[in-house]
Amino acid sequence: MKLEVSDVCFSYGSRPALDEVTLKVEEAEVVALVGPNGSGKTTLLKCIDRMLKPKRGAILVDSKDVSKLGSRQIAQLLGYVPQSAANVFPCTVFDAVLIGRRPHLSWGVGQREIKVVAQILKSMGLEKMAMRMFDELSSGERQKVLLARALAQEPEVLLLDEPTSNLDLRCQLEVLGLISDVVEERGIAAVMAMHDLNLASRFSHQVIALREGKIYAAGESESVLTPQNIKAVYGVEAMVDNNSGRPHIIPLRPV
Amino acid sequence: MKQEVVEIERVYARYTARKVAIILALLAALAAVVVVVTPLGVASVGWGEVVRAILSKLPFLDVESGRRASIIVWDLRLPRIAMAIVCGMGLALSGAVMQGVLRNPLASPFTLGISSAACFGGTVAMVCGATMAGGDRYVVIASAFLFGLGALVLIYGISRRRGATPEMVILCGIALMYLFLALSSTLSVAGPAAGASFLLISGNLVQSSWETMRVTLGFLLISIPLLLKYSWDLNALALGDEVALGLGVNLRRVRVVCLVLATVIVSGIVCFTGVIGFVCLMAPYIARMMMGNDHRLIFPCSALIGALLLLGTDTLGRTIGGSFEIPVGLLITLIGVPFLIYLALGRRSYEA
Repeated sequence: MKLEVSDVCFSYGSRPALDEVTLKVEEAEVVALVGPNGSGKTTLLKCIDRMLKPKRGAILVDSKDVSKLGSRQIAQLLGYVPQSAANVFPCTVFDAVLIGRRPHLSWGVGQREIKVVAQILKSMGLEKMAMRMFDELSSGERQKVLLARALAQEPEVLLLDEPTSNLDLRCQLEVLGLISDVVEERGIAAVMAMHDLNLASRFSHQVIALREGKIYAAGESESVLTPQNIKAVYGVEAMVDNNSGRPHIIPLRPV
Repeated sequence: MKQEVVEIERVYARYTARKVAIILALLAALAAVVVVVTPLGVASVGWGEVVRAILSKLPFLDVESGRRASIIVWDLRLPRIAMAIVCGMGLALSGAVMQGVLRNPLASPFTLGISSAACFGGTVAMVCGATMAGGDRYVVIASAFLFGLGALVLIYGISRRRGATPEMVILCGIALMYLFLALSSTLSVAGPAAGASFLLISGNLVQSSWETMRVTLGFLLISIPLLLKYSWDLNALALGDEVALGLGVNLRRVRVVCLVLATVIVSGIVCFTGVIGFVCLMAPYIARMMMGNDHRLIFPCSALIGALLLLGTDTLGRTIGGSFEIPVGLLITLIGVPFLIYLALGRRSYEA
């Protein structure tokens, strides 16, 4: 088991945001977190990465209790990919990815670090843009670089906050394809918050639907992405077509 | 496949080597400027005399030097040059730190009003009777630090507010700068120590001596190792708070330690020189363009550019006017203002 979250509760001040969330993620498994805005997707990701400290509950990565680890050790186990990054200062793509090595570095950058970064860039097809400036990239390219940066941490679990928001059709498929490949090749796990239910159904092994901080449904996409669940979670009437192997969701109208 | 990985590594190695070469070249340039500049000034000395005066102070060398040349070189020129270098480095470093921590390329102790707040703090202490002689000077510097810290806390609070843009922060900083400059001027004109502290306002290196240089250098040497230690955290911070948090950076500690150190450096400078602007804005900007996002290199590069800028400008200020001296603070404004306008117009817009 790569990741185990049990009975995690969190609240912003007095406003509860997560209520007894429990989930398990296996090796080489991709999990999609779905749910409306404010349902706790990002909060859950941040609690797993201990950017937020849960009020209750435990989080185990590779059977290690995250709350007992130092921040550097956590960063060696969990790689977080935010929705977007700041790009105020000139920074080459290579250096942006190299920043992901921080949890493994003391101060100097050794040959090994350079090699790890070069290999990640190469495996993601980013070698041509290694020396380009991060702030001159398109948003799709930038998202790939942010993913590469998290991979440079050599984490056991990837946490991604809406990795395909703001991307065009082709980039959405490319980025999610990269995530699937890398999870499989490295035998790691990924948890990603997503808005697009069709992409979630297609690129994940497990779908978890959150509603008001609670898990409403979890399991394979066929069992979670049903018209009843979508209505209960999103308040949207939808048609689901299961003929193509994976559920295909056609949203109709808000109810 | 293997081939291409090696290719990326080679390109990156070349990129790193070029950055190190730039820093070495800047170091060489600074040494060259010191050599060129030492004989220049109102009291003229020849090259030969300069060399002899310097050699005469070295042990085991039996070189005789004239008394006049020796005084000009050792008591006037070299301390002034050393002070220009140390102050230039300190200002540039504190600017680089503030830009990195606040993720704002327009930030610097000058544009955030921290220099002038510190200057006001120093003036207050002097008006209250403290002087810059002996141990008393640490009272002045402490007062400068406290006022600088006050401005820093205010600016930091503004920058942490929801929806605060970098431009908003700078606008507030410039407002603070004018407030404290006006307060300093008022105190200097009205207060009993008018003569001494009026010097503070235009920004100059007239009071330089070995002793003042040592004090300023002390603050710099205390701060540098810690700043270098946090280099990687600042690198991570450049990609955003979430990236830094995800890498295990203790955001609060990095921000507080680095900003306080930058204020310490500035306070140790401003009490001797007054507010010298723009060096702390220009040097880090140029350094970032050449060094990319690696604070381990941005810091030394920025410090060297700052030293070159201040030393060059100060030399110009004390030579072009004949027997009267143009304060370096005024002269640097002539270069700095067009630069700031260029920055404000030419900068790309921000995202997230």
